[in-house]
Amino acid sequence: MTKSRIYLSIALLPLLSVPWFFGPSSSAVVLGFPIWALYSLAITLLFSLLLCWILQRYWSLLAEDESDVE
Amino acid sequence: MSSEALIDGGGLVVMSLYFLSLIGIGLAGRFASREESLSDFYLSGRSMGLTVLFLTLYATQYSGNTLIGFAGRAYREGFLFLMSVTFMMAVIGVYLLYAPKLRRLAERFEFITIGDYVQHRYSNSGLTIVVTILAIVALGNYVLTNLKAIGLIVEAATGGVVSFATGIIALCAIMVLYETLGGLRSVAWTDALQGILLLLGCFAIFAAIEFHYGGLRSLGDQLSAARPDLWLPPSSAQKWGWLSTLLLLGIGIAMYPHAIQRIYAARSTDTLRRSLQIMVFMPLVTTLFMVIIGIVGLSQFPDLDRAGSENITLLILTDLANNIPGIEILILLFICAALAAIMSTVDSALLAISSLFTQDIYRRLRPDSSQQQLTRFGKILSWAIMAAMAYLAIQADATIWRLIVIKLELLCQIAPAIILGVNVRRLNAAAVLSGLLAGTALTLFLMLAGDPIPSKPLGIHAGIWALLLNLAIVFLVDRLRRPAE
Repeated sequence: MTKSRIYLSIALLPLLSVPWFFGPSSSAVVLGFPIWALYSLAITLLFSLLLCWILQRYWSLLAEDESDVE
Repeated sequence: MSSEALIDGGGLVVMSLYFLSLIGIGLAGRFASREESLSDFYLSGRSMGLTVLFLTLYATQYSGNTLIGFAGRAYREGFLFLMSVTFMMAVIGVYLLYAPKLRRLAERFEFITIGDYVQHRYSNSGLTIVVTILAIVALGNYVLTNLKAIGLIVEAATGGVVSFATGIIALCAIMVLYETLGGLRSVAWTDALQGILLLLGCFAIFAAIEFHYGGLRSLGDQLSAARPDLWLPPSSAQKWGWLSTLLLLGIGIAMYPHAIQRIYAARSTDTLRRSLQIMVFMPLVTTLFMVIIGIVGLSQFPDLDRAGSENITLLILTDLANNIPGIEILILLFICAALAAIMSTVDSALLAISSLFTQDIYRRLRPDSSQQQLTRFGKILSWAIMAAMAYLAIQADATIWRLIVIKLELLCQIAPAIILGVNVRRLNAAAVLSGLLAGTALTLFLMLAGDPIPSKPLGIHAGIWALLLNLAIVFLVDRLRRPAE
């Protein structure tokens, strides 16, 4: 994964956690949560796993400076 | 304020012992200090291990507002406030945009404050001073907010036996005492204890309400009756407001100067990386729990006004104590956890203000000062700042949430200097300074103008509009001033 893709994924998931795609009729309840709230929570959970994975695998890449490469 | 005390004499004794133990930890921090230098005092000699670093990051990032304000906000906004779980997580995402590089630079150039990095990166004293002043003002608001919360909790907990002002003065004295004894070492060690209390408090209260009320699944009917609108998806304006809040808090909280100092203070890069890995999951066991507590509170006490909703956790705990024998200990645990959360936030912010002033302002005025003189000045300054903050907290009148927003709106304007600074090598100081000044001016204008200028044009926070202007000006000025290739 490149730095740009890492940065993009970090920005994308919080953006997707907003329930943009749920209209006024989406009021089903699952596990005590409205479906749109559960969707947001699921994306947030996914976000936590992604961040943990990036921290584990790509810290060194993110710490690299272009001047190190040259 | 209610005249009925939430804790009895025994509880007061336990609380007093807890506060005394903090001073004991402060003393231990003093004995463990290696030298009288700014690095040892403000960064614990750059020796923080994994457990202490994680707990101090946790206790610092989650303030009393998490325990009190978040549950109250969830009570008022319902499931919409699940956004708080995401924004607390987004903070770690924003760290990833700059912390790996900043940590590497801090190791090499031995930074102490956020101003040290800015000066190193841009070699522009004007920019460094503006960043430092903004950070001090934002942290001042932060301390003020939390001190007010301390006074309110102590007064409520003791049924007015300890007044708002006395509570603030007493706890300020304790905080500044252990802080000046051992600097960040003492603060981080007390944070570790406070972080454990905070986590225990969240788990215990969440478990108790799940056990007693049956959790969200069994409260559906009551919730539907109390607030049928709760189940409806957010409107278009609310969705934009949601995104705006994610950006404002995710970016703003990641710019806390005291959190940045913990990036410098980690024993090693690996220690920092692993601490952040654990931090990623903390919103799921802290913020999410408090949101659910707020929503459960809504089903049990549906008709509270705004001020009443701020006390929803205490109301639930009192209800539990009335129905389940022997559970009074939970109230004491919650009060201690809330005070711990606030104190760990205030002591860290106070230390950061002291370091910013000493390292980035006083040291420039007195370049010949020795490390001992600077450290001594920093300690005296901590007492002076705490006294001023305690006075203001007792006298000033503002709501907790509004003060927090003003703080984060300002901190957001620092973000381009830090995030772009570590990632864009050719960015020039004039561009960053112009953007920062324009962003700050727009923030203050929108926040303070009043009618007919809204503080949130189109539902988007002033700080986000200002950040967009800030970035646009950075880009434009950078292009104009870049020499022709």
